[in-house]
Amino acid sequence: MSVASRVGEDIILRRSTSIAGKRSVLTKFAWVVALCVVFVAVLAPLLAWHQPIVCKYQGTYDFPAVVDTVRQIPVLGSYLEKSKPFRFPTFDARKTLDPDSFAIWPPIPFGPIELMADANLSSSRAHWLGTDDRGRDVLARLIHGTRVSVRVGLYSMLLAGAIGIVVGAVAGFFGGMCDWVCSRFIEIVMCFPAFFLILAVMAWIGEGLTGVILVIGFTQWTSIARLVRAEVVRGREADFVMAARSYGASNTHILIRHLLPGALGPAVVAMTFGVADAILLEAGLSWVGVWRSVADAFVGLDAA
Amino acid sequence: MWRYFLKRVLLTVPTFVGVILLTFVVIHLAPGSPATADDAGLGDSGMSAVEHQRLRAHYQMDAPLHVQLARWTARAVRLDFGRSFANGRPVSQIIAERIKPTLLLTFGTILIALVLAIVIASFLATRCGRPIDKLILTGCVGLYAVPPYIVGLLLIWIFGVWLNWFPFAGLTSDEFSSMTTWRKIADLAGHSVLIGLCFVGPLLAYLIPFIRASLLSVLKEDYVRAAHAKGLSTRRVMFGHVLPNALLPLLTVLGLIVPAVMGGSVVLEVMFSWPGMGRLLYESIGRRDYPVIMGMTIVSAVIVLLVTLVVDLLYAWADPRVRYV
Amino acid sequence: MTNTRDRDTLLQIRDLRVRYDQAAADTLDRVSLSIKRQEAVALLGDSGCGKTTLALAMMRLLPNGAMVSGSIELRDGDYATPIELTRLAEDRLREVRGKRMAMLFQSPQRSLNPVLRIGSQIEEVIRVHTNVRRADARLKAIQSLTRVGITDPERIIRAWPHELSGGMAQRIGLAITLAGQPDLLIADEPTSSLDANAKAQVVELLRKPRRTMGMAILLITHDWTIARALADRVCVMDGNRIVEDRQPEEFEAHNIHPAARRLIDASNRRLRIAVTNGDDVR
Repeated sequence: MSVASRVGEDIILRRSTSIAGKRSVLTKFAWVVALCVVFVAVLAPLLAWHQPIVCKYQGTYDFPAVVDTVRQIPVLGSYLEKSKPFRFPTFDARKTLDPDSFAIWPPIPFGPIELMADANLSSSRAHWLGTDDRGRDVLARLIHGTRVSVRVGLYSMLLAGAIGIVVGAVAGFFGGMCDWVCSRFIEIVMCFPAFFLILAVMAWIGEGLTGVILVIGFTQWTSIARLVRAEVVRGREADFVMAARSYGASNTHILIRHLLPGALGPAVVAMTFGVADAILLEAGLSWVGVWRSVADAFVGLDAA
Repeated sequence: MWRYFLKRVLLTVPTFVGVILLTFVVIHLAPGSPATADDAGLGDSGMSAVEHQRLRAHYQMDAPLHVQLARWTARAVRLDFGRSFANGRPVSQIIAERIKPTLLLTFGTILIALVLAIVIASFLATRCGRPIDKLILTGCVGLYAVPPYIVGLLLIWIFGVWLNWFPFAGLTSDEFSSMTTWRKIADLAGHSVLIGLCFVGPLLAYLIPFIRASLLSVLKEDYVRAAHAKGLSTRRVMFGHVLPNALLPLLTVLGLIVPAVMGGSVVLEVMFSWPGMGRLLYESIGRRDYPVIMGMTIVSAVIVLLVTLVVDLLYAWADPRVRYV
Repeated sequence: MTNTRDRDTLLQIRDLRVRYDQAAADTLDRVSLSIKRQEAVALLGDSGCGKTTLALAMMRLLPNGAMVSGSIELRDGDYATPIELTRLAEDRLREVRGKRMAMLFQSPQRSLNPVLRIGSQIEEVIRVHTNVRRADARLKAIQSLTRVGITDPERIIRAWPHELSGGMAQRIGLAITLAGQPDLLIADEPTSSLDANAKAQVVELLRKPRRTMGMAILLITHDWTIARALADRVCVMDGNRIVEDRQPEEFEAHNIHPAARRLIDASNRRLRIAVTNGDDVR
């Protein structure tokens, strides 16, 4: 690897210590905000949905918004796949059909895709942030948009982290020719301005949330790989690795038990920053129009 | 030292070859093989069969893979990317027109941000822990968290539309060609202000805390204390001893910033109708103008490659400790 | 206080108190110390007892925010008027640092700037205190390197700090401090990071300029053997104050302060271990 990058291996880490490293009010604030975003993303249908949270209709209780929330959790959701979508009648129809019925609605009783009567409404009691050009509730779209952002951020960084850790560990641990090839590969991918490469790839493979996640994951792993490589190289020379060798530990044992734990810390820090970068990239991509706006993608996912 | 320089320059060759290979792989990510080209199996990409045929013809995809690769490499090395699908002009010519505004923007704003950040960070480092230090640092974190295009929209709205202080569309005014030289410069500068701010702001938010941290760690070093003990003036200690050490890591950061800024230019150039590479990329994607897209991807990578090379050479020149690695 | 004693005194510290933090305890607690011209004083003490703080206070190199009270007077040449260092303006202070008082730091490698050649780091101190041209400064730098026993100064002057061994770097450090021909050299643990061989050489080098240049030395150390080898007078610090101030021979007596006894015993014990291991003891 080039001299400057070799010396600057810890630059990304330094960035974390210089910006977020301080245990200050700011850090706590940031944590609260981040948790709120994840909370909103996970519970989106409980906050804004076109179906009630709890309802009783014609003698049976149902929880359509809760069911829809669970349905969107990856593994768990597949068990509920068979249950039919519940359609709750509108207020007037319901009262005439069943006077005993009741419903508790989410705070925002609109989904992100339901077309309201009027487009381009300004904010009101019913639509807190108004409606967009196609008459959809903006706040509901915002809430469900965080889902997409969080999903893109987390999944793409899990992918990037996996690639980065493997490439970095292999390069750092085996050294020599292997290191040279891996380092060149890292350098090559780093040569492309991220947005240029992503846009180019997106232009070929087309739209879709999975595409966005894959492309971001496959391009944003380089800094993680460099950090892991640097840590592993440093650790390889350490006394405790010498000691492990002296009592006959195998290469894999040394790599997994002694070197990777030390390298994971920096990798996780880089991944945390990567989540933010990925969300920004995703927003930029949708802004440029390579793929449709966030809530549409959500719709696409829902349909799939 | 010269041996290292030569070695480092030669090292760009495999990287450049890698860049070409990677773009080749990207092209072959296109859906559909010759067998399925006639089917409607291209639905995902939104590519029509006609477009697909034209693409296959352009990249001569019917030839064996190694022949394709050889042709692609031979052309890429000469920076010959064929002709644009949209208007039939040579891609290299189109890129050449659009590269100047982007380079002006990228390197101009990086330079301004560097100078400002060094001055502000030096100011803060000597006032570590005071209210002004905390205030600016917090501001940096806040600014860092805001996406540049939000900054752009705000700036356009406040200074462009509301106050109407600066123009916010394009590189120059319509009557540019009839202006005197000084007016031309002023016109160009006026058009650059808002978009420039969108670049400089986030750069400052990133650079100030970084340089400040670097300065603080150097200020703690024994050799700084030793320099004071020699009887040197504060200025001489700062310029002779502290800054040369504190700015070394900045060189490396420079290698990371250039691709980030170039990548970020796409959204902002579109927003400000800046006739640069980012906007060209945006337009080309809208038109599915694949030769231009791929040409631009390679050119941008080559620019970054060259910047990294220069940064590395500068580093080796500036830091004696890593010279003969 | 008689006139003759006054004229002999180079530096007089009275009731010096230093604390780094409003809330913290004193790092130096009413320390008084005087150093005569050409005298070698050793300041002996455990780590963390405030020795280095005293040295930094004398050079006015304490970090910002440190609170200092008391006085440090430097007698100026033949004149009777002393300079009060604790209240000296920054520009006057620069004339004192490096020229009247110089300081040799603990870790020689780290007190050299890694991105500057050795030559320019020596020339710097010469040029800032004497009005000489670049070429003359270089000559003087070479002289001062020869003075610390470096045989090939022309090569060393173009070397980078990272190319030097610890012992070599400490010689360079000494050359830098001697280049300004100071009246007082403060050496802060100059040997603690060196091996036995380099240690002996540095002690020897510290002895020589004292004879030839008439320089006073304040040697800060935790090592009794070095203190005794070099010093006319040994001050022992314990618990942030000076508890003993005698000539080295007097420490043989039994009624010395327990801290002094402990330090002396520690170095004797080290000596014994070394002897029983059959090592060559310096």
